Amino acid sequence: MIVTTTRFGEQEIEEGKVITLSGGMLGFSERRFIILSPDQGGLFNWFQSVDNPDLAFVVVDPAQFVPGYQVKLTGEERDRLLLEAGEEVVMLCVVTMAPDPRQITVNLQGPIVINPSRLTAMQLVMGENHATRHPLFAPPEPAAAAKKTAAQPLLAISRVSSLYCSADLALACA
Amino acid sequence: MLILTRKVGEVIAIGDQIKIKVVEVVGNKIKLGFEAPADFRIYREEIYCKIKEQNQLASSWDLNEFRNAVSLFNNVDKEPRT
Repeated sequence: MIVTTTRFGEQEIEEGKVITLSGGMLGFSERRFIILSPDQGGLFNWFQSVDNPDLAFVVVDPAQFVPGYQVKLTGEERDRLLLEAGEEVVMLCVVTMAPDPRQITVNLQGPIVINPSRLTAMQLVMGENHATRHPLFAPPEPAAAAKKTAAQPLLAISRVSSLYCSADLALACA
Repeated sequence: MLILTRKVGEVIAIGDQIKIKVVEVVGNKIKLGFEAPADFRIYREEIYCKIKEQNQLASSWDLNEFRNAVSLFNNVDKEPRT
């Protein structure tokens, strides 16, 4: 299928890579997204709406930026994700860009959690202890005290190539 | 909306798993205690609103910002920034 995007032009995408976001991104009605992985994009990916060319979020794997970041899913969330017991999920956090890269922040309070085997996802609302605007390039904070709860087993997105759509876009040229 | 009056120390039950206790009232602030299975997410409504606002902010960005971020992260500036 062809996905039309405002920022990246038209992208040819396999149907099997479309992720259905239960509940959408909070405040947005779009439900179907793909993960675009630009050449030379480093650890940054794009979470692009299939149905709205304008709507794309920059996302990162929080483990790469915030050591010790973890979540525990509720039973309802596991059901919505069609997650089987013991199955791993992929976690992505939304980045808020800024003209000065040092002002870029990552939202740790509303992570996107993806079940890679069913291509289901949702944006969580975490409890009180996470920042919506965590500086992306800040020196790492002292590791938060590990909670005693059993955290959801995580799968690094870099290991789930089946989720990626490689974006045919050279970043170097404007 | 169901409206109930409670005194400090009194409890409201929602089903048989969730209890909300009025712990303290000082001026116009009410401290509430929640008892619920660990499986429930309980948070102030502002958190939901903050995530919505942050999503809105995060959805407007351009490729130049993205390139700058990537080059800062890679610590390599190959092209002059525009």
